[in-house]
Amino acid sequence: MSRAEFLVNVLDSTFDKESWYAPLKASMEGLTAKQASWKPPGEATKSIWENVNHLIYYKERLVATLENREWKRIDGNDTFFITKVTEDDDDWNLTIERADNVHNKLKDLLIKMSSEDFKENGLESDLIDIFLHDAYHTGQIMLLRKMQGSWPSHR
Amino acid sequence: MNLFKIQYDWIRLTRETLFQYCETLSPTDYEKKLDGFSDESILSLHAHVAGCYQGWLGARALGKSLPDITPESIHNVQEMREIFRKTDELVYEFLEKFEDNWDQSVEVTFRNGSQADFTALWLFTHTMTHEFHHKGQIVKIGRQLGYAPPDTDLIEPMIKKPANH
Repeated sequence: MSRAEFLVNVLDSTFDKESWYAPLKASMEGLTAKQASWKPPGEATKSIWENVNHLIYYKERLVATLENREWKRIDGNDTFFITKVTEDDDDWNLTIERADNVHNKLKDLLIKMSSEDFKENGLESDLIDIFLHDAYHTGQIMLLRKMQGSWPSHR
Repeated sequence: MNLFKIQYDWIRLTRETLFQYCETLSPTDYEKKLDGFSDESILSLHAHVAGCYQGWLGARALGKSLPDITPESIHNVQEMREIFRKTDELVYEFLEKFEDNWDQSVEVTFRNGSQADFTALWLFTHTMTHEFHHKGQIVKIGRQLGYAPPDTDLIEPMIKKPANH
């Protein structure tokens, strides 16, 4: 397996191919908009939906970089609010779809590249950041689901 | 340039931020089990993260015989720092051994006797990602306990070269 193939595989394992932890797509499955926007009582914390927004932003930014498109950078905290959190399941499903789309777009771009491409433009390092970042927030989403009681007991 | 050594140095920096945050928690809160989360505590997740590095890189890849890291044997952040100091030694030894040989397969024998091959690249990527998965949970638990956490999700190093950023 080439280095490029390996990195694409790991990217998949952070999104929709389960390896050692339930990846992002699995962590969003079966949630209603109301559950996705739930916050535990106490200290202000980000909801599942807001975490998903944050992950979408950084993947969309990497895609824009790879496509040499202009990208308007926003403040870190604002990245949690790039889609409006509502109690409407259609809105939540659109957010899931956006996460799906950007993942597929990034993957489509990567599979056309060689291992040399990955090394030359610092992409390898950027991708590792994405892996770590997605694992971090997916872990939080799972914790929120367990606190909420919405994580399937058989998993 | 050893990309993975640089990456691990970043990881250690964010880990240090996390340790400093943990030192602001009361000792009781550091080991407090969170209801509804498999009775995990910040201390137990920290120990689990160190155990993952030790198990995959120390025991399986480097073939060392190491005692298990159990949460019961660790009582505070200072002791956890010492556990990670030893973990760092293992990780740097691993990075040195496999530098330029990331595709080298390592045959791993599990406790139940089964065997499987993993590349050095997979092993290192797994242990890093595993730490981040649980680090996100650690700060979330800390916030639930009433301590606002710092940013530890390591995205800022991405802000570099491209001019349109």
